[in-house]
Amino acid sequence: MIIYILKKIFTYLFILLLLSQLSFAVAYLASGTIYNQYAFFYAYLGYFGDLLSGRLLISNYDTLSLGTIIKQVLPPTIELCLFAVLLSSITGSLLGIIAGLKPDHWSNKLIQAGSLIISACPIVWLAVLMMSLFASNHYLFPDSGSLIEQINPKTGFPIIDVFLTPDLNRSQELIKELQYLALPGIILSIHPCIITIQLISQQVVKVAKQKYIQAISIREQSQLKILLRHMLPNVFPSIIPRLTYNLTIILYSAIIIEIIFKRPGLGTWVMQGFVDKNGLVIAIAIMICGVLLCSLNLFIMLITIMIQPLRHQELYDE
Amino acid sequence: MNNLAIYRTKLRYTYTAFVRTMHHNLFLIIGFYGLLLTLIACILTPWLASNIDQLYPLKRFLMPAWFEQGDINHILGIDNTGKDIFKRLLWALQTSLAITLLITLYVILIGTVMSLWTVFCRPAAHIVLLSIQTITAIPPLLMMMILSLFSGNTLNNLMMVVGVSLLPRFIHNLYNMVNNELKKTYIIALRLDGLSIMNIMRYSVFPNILANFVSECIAIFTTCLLALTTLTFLNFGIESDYNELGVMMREMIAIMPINQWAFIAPGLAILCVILLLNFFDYGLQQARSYRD
Repeated sequence: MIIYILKKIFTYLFILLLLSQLSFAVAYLASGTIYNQYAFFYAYLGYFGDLLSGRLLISNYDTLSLGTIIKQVLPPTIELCLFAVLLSSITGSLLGIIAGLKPDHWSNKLIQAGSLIISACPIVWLAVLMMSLFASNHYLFPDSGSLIEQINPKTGFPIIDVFLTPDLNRSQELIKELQYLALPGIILSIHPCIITIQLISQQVVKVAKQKYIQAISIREQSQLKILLRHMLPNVFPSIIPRLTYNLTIILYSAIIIEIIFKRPGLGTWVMQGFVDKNGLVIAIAIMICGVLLCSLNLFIMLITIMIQPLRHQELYDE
Repeated sequence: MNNLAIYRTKLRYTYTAFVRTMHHNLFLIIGFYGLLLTLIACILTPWLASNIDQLYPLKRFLMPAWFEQGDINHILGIDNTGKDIFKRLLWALQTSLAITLLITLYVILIGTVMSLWTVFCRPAAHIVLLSIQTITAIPPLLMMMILSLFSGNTLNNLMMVVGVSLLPRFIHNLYNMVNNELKKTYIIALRLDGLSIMNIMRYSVFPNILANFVSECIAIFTTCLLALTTLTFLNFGIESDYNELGVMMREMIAIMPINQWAFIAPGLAILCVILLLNFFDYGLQQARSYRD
């Protein structure tokens, strides 16, 4: 298993290396960046030196601190993504369990039909429709969230900063921030939620047919106890590896949603860089997205191995 | 003469079998005939909406036909430049579906070749896996930005980006399908009998994965349509002048306060096409499970 984990870590590092080469290529070939004016080797060494030291050159005299960019740009996006992940996991698992327990019941058919129709909607279409629907409703669609970032930026995450700041009406600020998150978060969580529903209902149906569940249902009186103690612990571990796919989708669409809703974050920052034809912004964005997605991938893979070391073994036995 | 009679009988038999399959359940009937209608509408678009460039400057901001101010000659009304919205919708639907079909065909061709290559050539599997992981680490939007920074914000680049972002999933799923089938006992028995791998693939593996392969292709088509409209909505691929559903949605936002049906219609068209495809897929699966 250690060899397997080491192999995965080496793959991770190799992919990061590939992505950093791509990032350098963008920074070097795009006209207008300072690295474009240097000779190849100077630019190569200079770019990676700057990337490691965290200060990138904008012009001959100006530098751009990587740390400040990341602190400004990344936290709102990550907050939105985490909100969407939580929302989609909770609603998805609840609806999936309901749908999976009674496959012939009308509730299952309703959930399946609803998810089929909603998954066929383009996400931008839904976003614009919701925006025009709630444009006048300031309770559901406020212009800005908690203004804590402008008063007292500490970590960059508004929800955490609310708790760190003393002398503040915490509940009010928190509700403001959650209102700001709600609509984009709901739209963002639709597709992963549907994927989770499908996965969980399939798994529930599969587990319910197992011999040990039939045996326990003879002995045990309470249906709820069977569900909580015997079915769910067998259902959930098989879903964790699929979480990577959900997270990737959420990050992809978070960028798009941010552009449409004009929220500050990674999406608007990259789009502004693209409109200004700024190659350096796109080069940094490649590195940020690459590091984020690859690290998540590795992290979830490690968790999967810890929970289910014999996941592939079981598959071969069937 | 005899040959012709045999040929005719065969044709009639095939036709009856086809009709029997297609009329098996309600989902299949709705999906199949709905898709057929969409296809006919797309083919007939040049005749149905021939005078797309004709402007109606006096009737700008006209409402849809079911409103009091509406005109039955312009079903969805007129937009801010004076063009008929329904005709635009027909052209946009045709363009979008044609582009999506082209991308899907490319993805299926390249993906099939690459996944078969990974199945039969072990060292290639590592390279393909590595490139898949690298591609998934770059969001499609960012990929499009890189390409359009260097070689222009054109439709070709857009198609390439959508195709490349769909390839990993297709390769992964097809690889799993073929690999799982090859592991089964009857295939090993056939191998021990001395059948060539081409024969096994042609007569044993391919018929068994065909149903899953078709649903995978349909899934690729729907994802591709959604991704394409999303990217064109965000101003990508604008250097080539064309009318597409995403482009139309973006332009219709301007007249949304007056005529919101102009914005709803393109999204509804996408929704209907994808629903029909899903019905078709589901119906095929039901028909297959009935036969099994």
